[in-house]
Amino acid sequence: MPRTLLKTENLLVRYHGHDGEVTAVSGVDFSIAEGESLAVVGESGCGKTSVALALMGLFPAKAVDVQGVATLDGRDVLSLSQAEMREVRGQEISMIFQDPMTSLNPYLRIGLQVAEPLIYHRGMRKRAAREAAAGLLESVDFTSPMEHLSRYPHEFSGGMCQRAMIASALSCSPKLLIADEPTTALDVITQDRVLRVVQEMRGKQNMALLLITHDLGIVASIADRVAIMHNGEFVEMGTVHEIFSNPQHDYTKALLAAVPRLDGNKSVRLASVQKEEQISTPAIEDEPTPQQSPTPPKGNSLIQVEDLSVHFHLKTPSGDSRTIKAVDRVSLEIKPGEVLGLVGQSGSGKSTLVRAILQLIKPTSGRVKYEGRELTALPESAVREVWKELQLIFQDPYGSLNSRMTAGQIISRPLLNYGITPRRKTRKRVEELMTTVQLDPAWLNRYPHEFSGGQRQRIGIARALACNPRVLFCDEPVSALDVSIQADIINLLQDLTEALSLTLLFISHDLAVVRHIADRIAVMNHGEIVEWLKTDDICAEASHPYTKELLAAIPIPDPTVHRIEVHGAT
Amino acid sequence: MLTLLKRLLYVPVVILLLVTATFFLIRLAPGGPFSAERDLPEEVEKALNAKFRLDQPMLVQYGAMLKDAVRGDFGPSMKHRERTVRQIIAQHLPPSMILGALAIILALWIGITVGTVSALKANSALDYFGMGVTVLGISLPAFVFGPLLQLLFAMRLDWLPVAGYGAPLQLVLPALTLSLPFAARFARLMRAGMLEVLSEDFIRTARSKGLSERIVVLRHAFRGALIPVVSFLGPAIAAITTGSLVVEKIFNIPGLGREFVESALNRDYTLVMGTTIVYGSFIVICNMLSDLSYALLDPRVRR
Repeated sequence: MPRTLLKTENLLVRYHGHDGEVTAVSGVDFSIAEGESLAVVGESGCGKTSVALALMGLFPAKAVDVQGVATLDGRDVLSLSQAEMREVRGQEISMIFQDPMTSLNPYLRIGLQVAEPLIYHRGMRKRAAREAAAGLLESVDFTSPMEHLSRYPHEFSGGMCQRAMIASALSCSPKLLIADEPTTALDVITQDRVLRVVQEMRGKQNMALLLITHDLGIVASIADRVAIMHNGEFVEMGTVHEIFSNPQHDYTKALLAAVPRLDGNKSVRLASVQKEEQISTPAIEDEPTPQQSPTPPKGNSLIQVEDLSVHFHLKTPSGDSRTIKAVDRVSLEIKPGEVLGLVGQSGSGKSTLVRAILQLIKPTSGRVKYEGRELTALPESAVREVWKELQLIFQDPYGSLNSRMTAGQIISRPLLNYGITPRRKTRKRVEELMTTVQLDPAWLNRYPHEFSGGQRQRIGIARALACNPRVLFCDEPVSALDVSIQADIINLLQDLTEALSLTLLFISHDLAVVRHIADRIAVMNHGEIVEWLKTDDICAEASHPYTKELLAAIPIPDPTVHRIEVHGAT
Repeated sequence: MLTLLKRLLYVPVVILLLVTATFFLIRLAPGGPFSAERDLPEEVEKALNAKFRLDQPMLVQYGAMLKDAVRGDFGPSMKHRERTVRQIIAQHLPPSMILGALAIILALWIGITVGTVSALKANSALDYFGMGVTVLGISLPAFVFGPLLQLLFAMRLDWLPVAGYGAPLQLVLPALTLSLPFAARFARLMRAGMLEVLSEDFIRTARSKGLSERIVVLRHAFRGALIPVVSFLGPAIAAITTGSLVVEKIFNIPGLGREFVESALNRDYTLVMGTTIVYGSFIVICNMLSDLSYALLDPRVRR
């Protein structure tokens, strides 16, 4: 039995806000043994990050009240002075954060940022620390680390930044690493690499890990024990096998059922975790649809894309120009009533493809036809009319809604733009639309910040539906949402597709999500569609090396299956 | 490097535009260099006009002026005909430059210090006091603040000379007066910049490494916080050098500010051209340096 490293008793975190106190963490008890990994799982806002910040002593003393005991190696870290705590941070407990791009200082060279803990905790000279930093970078998978030392963060990709963060965090061999959503901002293949690095380093240094995440796939693949957190409390705690095979608490069960799985049954609706998101009148689902496998799309294609390319010409600092092929000779067709999935890493050209189809950016070459009309040849005013029938839903429900307009104004905008409904009937139509997306029409005059992420995405969907479109282009509609809310939005989109006989182009970097909703899947890499997947058993079907790599990198939310077995994957 | 060269190429273009506009505008303004004087005998005025080529077509004058200006020759002043424009500038520019440079250094030093302290102690009594003083600094005109300083430090305490130019101590009060509104603006910009940077994710990272607060502020936050200050530095230098007239008057400093304003009032065409070119080049170059110093601070804009 390994020694207990960290033990908390009744850990409590309260924020003093403008409108009174808010309890973020209401008395949690847990322990982590040396070398063990504990995952804390929960939705955003459940208090999991607060646990980490409390342990690190990173809360401003005035605004936040931290109570309880957290014993690290026999010492209560919560009662330490700021000066003593500084010695703990970076030496005994280190932390890595969610967004590696903003978590590194853009003004300082990587080398210094990696070496800093060595300089301040170990009193190393700059020269020696620099060499040590090169070694650290090498251990987190950097080739030619010396070269990277004098680079700045903006010259790195997200994955490189996160690996540099890990190198810095582990420089003084801490006993505990707290990783707060370390891969949420990264795509699966990069995520896979980062997690591998973490695991490797843990093995080398016998370091314990407190992993904060909402991704059950990651939990299953690297955690020893799991704590499920909800509304500031640990509702359930157990070994990873117990949690996944025999969940006790309703919330845990719901969370597990809400995640689409690569090997799941597509015709089963995703479970909804929370009820407060919806209003009582389900507008569409007369009966909870045990979803029929969709009628095979028939007839002519609705949208036809032929040899579409979008090339960008960049001027490099040295003066020569470089061509970026964001979309390269893509051909596809979308049939009426089908849900076409499009997957690929960030930067693979998915969004650019959609924009080029909609003529939001001018394609370099190729043709787009909608119902036989060639959009690429139409004048702008005519394209504008076509947009009525082709609408977009965006990824970021926070950034894509105008914060100075009410929900009603946002939803009514297309109605007024296109003069679809007479002014006096606009309000009624907006209320109708809000009901359709299961939002309370009484919230018409609220501003976006008064809604939750899922509710905002519903506003975005209502806006897209306003002019009765035939095709919805959904650009990563759920990737900014928690799993539980993700499930609700996917269910809603599926219901709408059926009820309003919509055609969907559904973009995601998450193959499991796309597989759940789509009839056919196009896999995109470096601007090209590399493979089409047409069956449910995509693991057996996948033949392109990139698809296999993608599949192999996806963590499966089941501790007994570690990676999807893909024939021939490396 | 490429950007620097490109920016340098713009400098003469901007100055040429400035010179052209000034040349024609001052001639469009009513009156001429000799109209304020007592009625001159016709022959005298004719002779003067001929001497300064004012009897020639405008474009010819313009061409001749450009040709001379390139060589740095602006001819004699039309008002003070015994001296050339070059002599006037050579005599009056140094006091203005020394005063301006001192004022900028003072403004930066006071502004950055006050701003940083205010940000670190945000919403404390010290912060409120500091920011209150900056409001005063921005709104108090030099002709109020300058005499106040003279009254206190020269008349009452007798620590510093009241006015004049020559001894280093005589520069203290005018430089302080000139720097005050800019120190106040720098302080506010620095405070806002520092507060913004301190709320960034990478500051949390720095703290998570166990660094001392001093290192967090000085190494991790300072550079980013300085960017708003630097972006105001160019305009500030311009405003300080051209706006020194009032201060020069109050403290009786023989600066170029006074010559600049009087040359325009006197329609002293040659002196106007000379001072405009000097000030113009200076401002254009300062703005360019201020823009380029972004790149020194922020590696992301280095191209």
